[in-house]
Amino acid sequence: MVTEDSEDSAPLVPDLIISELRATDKWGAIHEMIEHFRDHAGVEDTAAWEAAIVEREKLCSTQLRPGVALPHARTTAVNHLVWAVGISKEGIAFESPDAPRAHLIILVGIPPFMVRHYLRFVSRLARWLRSDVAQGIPELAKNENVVAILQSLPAAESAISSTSD
Amino acid sequence: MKELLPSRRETRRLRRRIRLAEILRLGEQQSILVIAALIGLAGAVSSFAFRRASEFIHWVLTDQHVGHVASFASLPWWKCILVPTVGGLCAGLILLLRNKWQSRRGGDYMEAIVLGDGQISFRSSLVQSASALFSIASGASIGREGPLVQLSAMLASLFGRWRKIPAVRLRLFVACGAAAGIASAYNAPITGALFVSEIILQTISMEIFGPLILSSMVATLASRHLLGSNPLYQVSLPRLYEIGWGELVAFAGLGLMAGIAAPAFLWILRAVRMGFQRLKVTLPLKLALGGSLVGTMAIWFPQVGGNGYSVIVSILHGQWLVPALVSILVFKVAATAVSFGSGAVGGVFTPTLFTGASLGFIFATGLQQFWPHLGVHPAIFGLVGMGALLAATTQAPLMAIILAFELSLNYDIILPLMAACVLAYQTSRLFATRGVYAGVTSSAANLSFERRLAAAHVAQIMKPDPPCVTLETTFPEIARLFVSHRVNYLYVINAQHRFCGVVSMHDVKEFLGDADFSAVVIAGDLVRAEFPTVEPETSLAMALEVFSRHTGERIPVVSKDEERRLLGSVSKTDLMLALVNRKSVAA
Repeated sequence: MVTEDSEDSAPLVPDLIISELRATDKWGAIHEMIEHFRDHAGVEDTAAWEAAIVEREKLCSTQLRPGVALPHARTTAVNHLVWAVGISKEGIAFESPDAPRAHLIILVGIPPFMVRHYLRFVSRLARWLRSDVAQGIPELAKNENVVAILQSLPAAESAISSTSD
Repeated sequence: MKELLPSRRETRRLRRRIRLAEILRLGEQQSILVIAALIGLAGAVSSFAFRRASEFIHWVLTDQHVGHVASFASLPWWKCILVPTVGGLCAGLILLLRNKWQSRRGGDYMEAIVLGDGQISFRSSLVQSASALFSIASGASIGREGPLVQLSAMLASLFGRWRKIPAVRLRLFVACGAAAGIASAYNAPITGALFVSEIILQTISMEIFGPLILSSMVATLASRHLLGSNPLYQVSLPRLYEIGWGELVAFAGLGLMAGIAAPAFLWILRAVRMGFQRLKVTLPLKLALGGSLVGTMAIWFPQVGGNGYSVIVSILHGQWLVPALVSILVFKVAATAVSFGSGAVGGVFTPTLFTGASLGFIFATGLQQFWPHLGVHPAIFGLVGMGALLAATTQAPLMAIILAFELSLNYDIILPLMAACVLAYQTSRLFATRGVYAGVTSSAANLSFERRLAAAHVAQIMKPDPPCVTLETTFPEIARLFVSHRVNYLYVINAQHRFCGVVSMHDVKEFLGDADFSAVVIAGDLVRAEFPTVEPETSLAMALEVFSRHTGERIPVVSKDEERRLLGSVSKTDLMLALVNRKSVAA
């Protein structure tokens, strides 16, 4: 059973990696990624999840850093933390048309009671994004072997965890 | 983007700052204690200033730098009459200003604590204190603890109004001021707190007693620094003094006697006051008449002048013969009744102590005559008599026991004090004695606790403008607010001011220094919607029930309508204070 104080020492493994997003705008990208969760056991209601993410995105942009966006929502539409990584070679404008485009879209859904779990997840994700592997994300997204590189993410994250203060 | 990823050094610095802020953060209770301590300090300084001012006026009126008794003893007869008459006239003229400067705020600290909203009129208090200065300085037989407590409580009320403190908490601070006034008047910190708890609030709860004790303690420390740290009344006991059973029975007898004397003493005070009230003359003339009567008595018995402190000291050193002391006692009670009855502003604490000390001394000397084998010490009986009569006149035996102990700082007298004070109190109750402070506290007792509890609403103790954030507030701003405010929850509102929930300190504290969140985490990501709320119309009884299921210190107050706008917050401490105060006045 997932609880608020569950230890999140498990490796960061996305539920889904979408190697090439077809959508060209952020609402399309969010919809496209959520559609992949239609039969996912952790998601009760994809429409409600999408609505929650859109509502959150309207409050303020979730562009985490150049090249990376983190559309997310705390919603009862999911049973536990579910997340997916989508790759866009062309990039998607998440902030404003002239801002750097996001090539890595990290979609997250988490139940409302898991506030600290969510913060720990974002913290670990942010630490991985500071790593050397993630530094060249725009170039990384164009790499043919991007999926393989992302699948190595847990190992990279663990390595960073062990050296951080 | 660089600013979103601060250097490790910057992050470490921020974390250190947050840890330090967490350690040093003052909760609601701690804030109350800090303010109570400051009020204690202010009370001590105002008491010191009052003492010096009264000594100065005494010097102006008598050209003497000594106490009242010594002054009256050295003044020519006509000046013995003139000084208190002029003093009374001035005191009365000053009191006329009080009527002219009527304020919507109350003038009396007891009313402000028990019945009112903690508001004490600044002008009225100043006028009363100035009037008391002239009465006391010119030799009226009245104690200075009254104006000292009034001044100290008024300063606390002023502070509370300046800081816009809610009524229920303001009452507590005014109570702290009163405790500080008593503590600095008698160099007696525990008595200060007990005076307010036992006499005014008629309850002892830690919600209240802690701040009262701290305020009294600081006031006493400051007073000792300003005036010296010796006990007010020293009595020299034989080495290895032990109280035998025979002597303990004698102390019980003294308690019984004090229990009978107290209603008689109070009856005399009230009868003379009623007599003065019937006089068809103006207040200045009444006070001048009271002063002239005291002055006339002082021609033959200079000991009737002033509060009686120096005579008490001489009694406790066994320097009296009974016939002389009986005469002094009769005239001192008469002088006190005249001063009190004429309307002079002041307290009757010290005159009561004088009367008790005299009774105790006379009683013990009588015992010596008839049962010399008992080996009683009249000075000790004088000290115990002070406590016993005070217990009966104030109907506060616990405070009386502690006061007599603190005045002498002699632990050997505790057992006789306990026996005499409790017996005096119980005996006085047989005569349905109404304590000297009963007037104010009983007028509120008509309403039952439950009725008053149900009638009071959250709106009366609500604090407006609680720390809150909007859904869009960024993580660094949330961290900053948690660091700068003493709260465990930040309330979250939307653009329409609707209450959406809270951000919990518990959720975010391990991330407060995490700069990674600055780019992406906002209050909307952290809000917990499930949080208890109350409405302004919610009764205190219902609010108490809500708090019983909630561990936090505060609950948001939202509007009753559909919009559920955030209006303020109500704290558990304020609710408890409101309940304690209401219970105490209904008791």
